[in-house]
Amino acid sequence: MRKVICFALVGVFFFSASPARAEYLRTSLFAIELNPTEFYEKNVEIQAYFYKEDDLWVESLPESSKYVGFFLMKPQKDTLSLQEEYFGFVFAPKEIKDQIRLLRKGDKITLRGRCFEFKSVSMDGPGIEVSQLLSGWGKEARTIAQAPFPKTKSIVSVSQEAPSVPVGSDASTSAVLSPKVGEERYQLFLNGKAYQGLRFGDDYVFEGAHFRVEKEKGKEQ
Amino acid sequence: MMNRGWKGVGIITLVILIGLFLIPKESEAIPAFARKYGVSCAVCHRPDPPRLNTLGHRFRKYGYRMPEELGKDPNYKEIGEYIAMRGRGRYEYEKFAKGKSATTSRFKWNDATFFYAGSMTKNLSAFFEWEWEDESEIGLNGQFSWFMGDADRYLQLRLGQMHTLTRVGWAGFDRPTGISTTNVLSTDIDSSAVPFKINQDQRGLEASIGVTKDARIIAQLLNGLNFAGDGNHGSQDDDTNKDFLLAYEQNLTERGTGFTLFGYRGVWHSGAGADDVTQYVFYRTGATGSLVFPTPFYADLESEIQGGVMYAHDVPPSAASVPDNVDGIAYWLGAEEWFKNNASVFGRLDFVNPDIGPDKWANKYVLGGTYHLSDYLRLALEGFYNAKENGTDSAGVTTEAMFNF
Repeated sequence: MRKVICFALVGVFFFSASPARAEYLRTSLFAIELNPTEFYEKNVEIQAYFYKEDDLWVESLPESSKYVGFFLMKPQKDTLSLQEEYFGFVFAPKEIKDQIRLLRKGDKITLRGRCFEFKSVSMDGPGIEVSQLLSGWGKEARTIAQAPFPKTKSIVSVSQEAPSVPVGSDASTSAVLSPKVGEERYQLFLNGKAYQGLRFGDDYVFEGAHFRVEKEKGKEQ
Repeated sequence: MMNRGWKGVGIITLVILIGLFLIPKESEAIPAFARKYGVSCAVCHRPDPPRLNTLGHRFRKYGYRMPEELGKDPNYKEIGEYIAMRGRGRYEYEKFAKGKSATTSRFKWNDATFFYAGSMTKNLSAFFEWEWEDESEIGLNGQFSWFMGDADRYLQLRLGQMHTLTRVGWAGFDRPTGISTTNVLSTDIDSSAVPFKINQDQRGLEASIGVTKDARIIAQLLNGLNFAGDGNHGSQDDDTNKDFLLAYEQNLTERGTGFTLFGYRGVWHSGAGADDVTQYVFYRTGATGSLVFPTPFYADLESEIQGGVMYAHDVPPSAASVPDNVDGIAYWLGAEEWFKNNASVFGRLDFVNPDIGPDKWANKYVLGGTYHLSDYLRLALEGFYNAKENGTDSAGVTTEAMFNF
């Protein structure tokens, strides 16, 4: 697979890591929207396409300053699709906003988090509070961001129930990307796209390529 | 010939019905605003697009803003959140009473329409609609509106060439669930020379005052119709007279029950010349209402009873050799059933009596259904029967595929 990476001192590598231990109910946005009450206060795992960052609905959250919002496009079952479906009630802790901003429209992502009942002035519906964000679907999924734990408070303060159908993850996790103040960043050009604000030493997955950039040449794992 | 025609209609109807019930359905959405807000179209449309639910109507009243957005500058993302396209293809069949007129059987491309709509700043909104219609003319609507206030108390000024009350109002003044708009709103309901229909687009200025989030007073100052009876084509205005519309709109429940009261005073000139020969003064007054409630024994479903009545009074020129004042009356009454899977069935009676004295009534009976197949496609089917005391009876079927993307 040809990748054009226009930056000096780049080391590209493929890595493996220990499986995720969290238990999530693997489902779909369609299922959640169809019967939202069945999923409220449960940990869910869903696959979707990233659409855009948007804070419109964040302001309806009790602690809106702690979250960022983004929209998803739903995967279609059929090859010939007559529809584009959007899902706008996705919220993630602000600590991972840098990682969210690296995503581009149409990127395949997997979300893990808690489904809750979102309420705003305009409307109610199922929302997802993201605790783990992965790039890709299924076996190719790699963690690109994880909410800091333990969290002090959920969006809706209720006790967490054990998932009714625990599903082991088939994804691998990489190091959690934690922001560092004043850290030097770099820019990556991949297949014509620019990915900015990347950190040396952190693991990334873009367009199926897993890599890390070290400051010293040839330092691969 | 008739048998062959009805056979064709039957086949098309069967195909649509099969489509309605066999094709899997999981979701729905609208184009530009769904992209902008990350929601499905059912959030604002009920039972199917283009008809709005309570939230959708509020969104429109607030200048294409969600209540959360009032007082804030919009967070512009991309052009796709402001533009959309619509196309409506139809098949129409109509057979008239024996020997009176030729049967109609045709495919028709009703319109191709380009929209640009949304909020521009925290106060300013725009709505532009370029509609290429079957008559090969571009029907243009363009307006800017300025919103001040909050969700419960506001003033909105709207300036442009625009839908006046029909298609932007409530409780009967919104778009129809099916294909056809009731004759009460879409035809000239009296027999004078004034070619006025309450649903005509016009140029002018509107002040809309929200006294609560569910009630508003609407006042419009409009050019009125030109000599040709048009409000949005041709000369900008053929006289200096202005028309006035005053309406009160009240939404009563979250399901959408509500009513609208309205009055319209217009002046129309049949041509150039002295007022006492060419000037007609005309009035329209009426009320519309909609009752939406859970279907008895099926609480998951919703039913609607909708109706309206309008009275027409035209005053001809004082020196003209035309009959005295002409009065007309019209009403409609409809019932609808809204299903969970974005489908509906409906029936409606339109009654128009354009001359109360001689009694020239015309009834239209409509039965139909709609199904929102996907984000992009709504199917609709209507059967109708026209019964006219002083005209030719007819019956027919209209089917429509409406694409939005």
